[in-house]
Amino acid sequence: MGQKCSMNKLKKITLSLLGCSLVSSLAFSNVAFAQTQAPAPTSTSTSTSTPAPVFPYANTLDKIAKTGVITIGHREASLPVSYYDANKQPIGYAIDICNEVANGIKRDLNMPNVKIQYKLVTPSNRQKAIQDGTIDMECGSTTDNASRRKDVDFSIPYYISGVRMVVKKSSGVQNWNDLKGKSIVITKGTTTLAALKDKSAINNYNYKFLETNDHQLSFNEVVDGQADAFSVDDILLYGLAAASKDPNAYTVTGDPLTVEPYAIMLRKNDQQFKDLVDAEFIKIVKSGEIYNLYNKWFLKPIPPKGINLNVPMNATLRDVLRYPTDQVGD
Amino acid sequence: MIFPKTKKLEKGAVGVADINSSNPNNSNGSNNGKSRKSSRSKVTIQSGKNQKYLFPSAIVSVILLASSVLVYTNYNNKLAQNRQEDAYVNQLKQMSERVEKSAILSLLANPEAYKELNSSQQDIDSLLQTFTKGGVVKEGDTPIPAVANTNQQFKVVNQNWEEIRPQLQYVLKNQDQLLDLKNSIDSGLAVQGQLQAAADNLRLAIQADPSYNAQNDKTAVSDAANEIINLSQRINANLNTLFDINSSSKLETLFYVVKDYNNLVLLSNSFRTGNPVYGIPKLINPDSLQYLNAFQTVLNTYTPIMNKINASKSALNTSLEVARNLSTVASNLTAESEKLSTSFEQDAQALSKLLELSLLLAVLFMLVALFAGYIIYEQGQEAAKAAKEFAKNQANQAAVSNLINQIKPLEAGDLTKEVEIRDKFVGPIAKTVEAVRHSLLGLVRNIETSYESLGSVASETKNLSVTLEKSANDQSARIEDSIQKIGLITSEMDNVAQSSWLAQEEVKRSQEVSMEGAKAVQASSVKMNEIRETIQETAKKIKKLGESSQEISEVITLIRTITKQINVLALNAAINAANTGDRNFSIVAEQVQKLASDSSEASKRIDKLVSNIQEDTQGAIGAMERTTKEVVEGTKLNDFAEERLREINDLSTKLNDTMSEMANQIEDKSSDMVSLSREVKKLQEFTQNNLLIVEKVVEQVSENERSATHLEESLKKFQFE
Repeated sequence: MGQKCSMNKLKKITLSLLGCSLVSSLAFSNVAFAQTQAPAPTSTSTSTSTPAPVFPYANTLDKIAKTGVITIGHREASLPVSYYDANKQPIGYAIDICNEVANGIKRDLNMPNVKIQYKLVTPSNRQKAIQDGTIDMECGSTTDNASRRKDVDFSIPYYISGVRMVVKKSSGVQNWNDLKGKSIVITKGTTTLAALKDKSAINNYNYKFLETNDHQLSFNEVVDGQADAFSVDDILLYGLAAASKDPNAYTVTGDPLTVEPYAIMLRKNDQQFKDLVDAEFIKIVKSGEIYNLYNKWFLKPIPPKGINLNVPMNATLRDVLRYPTDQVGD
Repeated sequence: MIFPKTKKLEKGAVGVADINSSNPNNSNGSNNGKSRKSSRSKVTIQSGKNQKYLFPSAIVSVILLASSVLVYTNYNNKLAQNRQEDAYVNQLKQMSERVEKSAILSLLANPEAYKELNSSQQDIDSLLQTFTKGGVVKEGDTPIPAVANTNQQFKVVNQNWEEIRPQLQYVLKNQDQLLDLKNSIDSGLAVQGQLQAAADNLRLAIQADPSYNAQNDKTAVSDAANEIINLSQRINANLNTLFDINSSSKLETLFYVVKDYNNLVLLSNSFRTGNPVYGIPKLINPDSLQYLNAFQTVLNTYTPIMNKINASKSALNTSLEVARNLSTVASNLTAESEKLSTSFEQDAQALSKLLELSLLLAVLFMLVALFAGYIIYEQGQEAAKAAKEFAKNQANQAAVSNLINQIKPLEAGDLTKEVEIRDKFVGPIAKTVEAVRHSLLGLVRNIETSYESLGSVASETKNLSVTLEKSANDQSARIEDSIQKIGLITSEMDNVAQSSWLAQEEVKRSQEVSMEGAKAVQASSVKMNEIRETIQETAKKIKKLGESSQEISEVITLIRTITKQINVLALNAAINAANTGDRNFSIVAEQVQKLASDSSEASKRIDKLVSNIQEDTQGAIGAMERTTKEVVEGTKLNDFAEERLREINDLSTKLNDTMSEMANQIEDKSSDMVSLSREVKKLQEFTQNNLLIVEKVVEQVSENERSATHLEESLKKFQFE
């Protein structure tokens, strides 16, 4: 098989080609070098000030070959998907998945010396970090949607979230119409407010809106009875409720306002690397490993406080994983 | 309105009493001649006094008559207005019910439903505006007064409508988009059978495609073909349920529709160009390509639908959600309108009763007043003629006194005493009074009868209400019970769904194991074939060995012949040597003879060895032939096992699909149960509302009873039995 790995075929990497020997991998790397003729990274580092971030390599594989590093972007507090443990080490469901993917890529390319590094990103800089090459894979709570796909690509989703609400169980609130005339707290900068304002106006729900600067503060408003409900992606609500003093006092409820598939964010138009990531992801799904990882992070106690979110896999995610695909309903 | 009149009547009654009180004086005077003059003058004085009352009495009578007419006209107008109000409220109720019904039908994107919603909106608007400002809805109706500030219930109804209006307008605003989408989907669903048939054909073609040989390829290709079938089925199922009256959110349905379509496009393209990520090689077989093209063609007819769905996804979802809410809030409006209607009906009943009663009382009072006036007038005339017609006067006075005495019970409300005086002067008056008394008696009896029936109706209503209240309580308890049961069922269904997913995992494992088994069996089959070939090769070699040893045996025979000849030659040589006496030659011949005999011995042994070899060879060949047979048998068994394992694998795949389907369905049902639970909870709310209403009805009935009691007390003032 190795002999069949001719140079021009390398442009389109195939699964069978992934099995090529070290020799062909090196050959591939050479091709990558040859194709690159990249400007020196130093010269382009100044270009970060320009509006459109520039990636100073031919493609991700070229970057990995030259730097010997795969960089994974992670989040600070997207429990249990991507967050810091007590020792400020990135952990989480997405981190585990991305580690397996990155290690698989190292195996496929036969590059055991490549290092895996982590870099903290935020909602405001994650897209740019992918575009300018600060990170190679973003593994957090980023929704794969049509507007983002104009600038970046996404792999197969690993979690399907939806905007819902957390309320006190004692309130008896089950759905949006039960909140008529009541107050909802929103974290500033999320898209939830506009959606809920529309809902309130059309249905005469007369919601009163409060705003805070962060999810924990928003949740505290519900705890203190300042607000009747807090609305954001349900997985974050599960995390906040589970971490509270009395997890049984709260319930996540309401018809989802949106369907939010979380997926690994990748650089746009880098089909080689995306195919590698997708193929590794499919391996994790087909081996059943993803179900183990899901159970580990969603149905068992997790660091740092040993809380159990107890969120069984929802039907949409099961469907996505049944025949893994990056095609989502948006 | 009655009281002022009663007061006025008392004024009249005072006049009557004055005449009465003067009577004893008059009778005294008639007995005593001396006092006749004085008594006459007294009468004259009294007559003048009486005449003073004549004019005011007439005025009062006229005023009474006029006000009676006014009151009647006023009440009559009010009654007509009230009937109109009632009619408008009934229209309002009907429109509200229409909104309720049409909102549900609009979930099916039914054009008629939108028309109804639109016309109902306009009708309700103009009805409520008329109630707010007063006037008429359409020409020819009786104008009604503005009730916006007076009727509390109307305020509630109006507020209700203000809440409904924006929702109704949102639904109407999006109707064109939804109708367009619905038409589009219907056209797509018209070819849904074609999509599934094309998917089936494509799968069959791909599975039979001879160009897919490698096992890995086959699995990936077969998975992809199965997925095409799954998605084609689901996309149609979801499009079918997009416009239905199911209460659940359409967000997930829309997500699946778009996702499934995108995946069908992805898979179709994967077969066209090959897809390394899924391990799908490019389709090259012309037959398969033909079916792929056919599938792509049908899939293309879904593209405009998907574009429309993508464009109107949020409007569609919100609009359907709002339409569902609309039905609920419209049912509130209907209930509130019903209450408004009840309040107007009560007004109407009270008004019409008041009108009858006031009219009759006015006539009665007026007659009494007129009569009093007449008496005063007559009394005056009598006093003037007192000297001449004392006796007549006395008789008249007695008659009048009699009349007055007979009227007195009437005054006190006793209608049982008949008024009868056969006097030519007072008689007609007495007849008139008697006629009035009679009709008044009839009226009061009517009222009494009505009151009695009202009482029985009230107690019946009360009984009914109590029963209703009890059954509503029962119903509420049963619904509570149902909610708990539904909760149990839902959680059990969740458990089943969970276990079926677990079971699916197990099935997947078993599939993998059976595949591995199949592979292992295949490998052993290959090995056995190799063994068989090796054995056959060996058997051939051994046969050759047998043949070679046969040759050896032939050579040995030749050697033995030669040895025999050598022996003969050696014998001859020995004889010749003996004959010649050559000692040396004799020794040589002897040695040659010995050699020949040794050689003969050796060849005999070789012969034996060769025949042993040949026997062994025959045995070995036999054994090998038996082994070969067994290997062939084993290979057959292997093939059989492999076939069975593949069947197990296929069955597992099917089982997996079925279980996935089942789990999906259970999950769907589970979410249905959750909605059912929600619905039942709503039902319970309604029941509790009903309970409240029943309580209100009971209250109302008690209120009615109190009114009836009040009426009874009023009636007690009259004696008529």
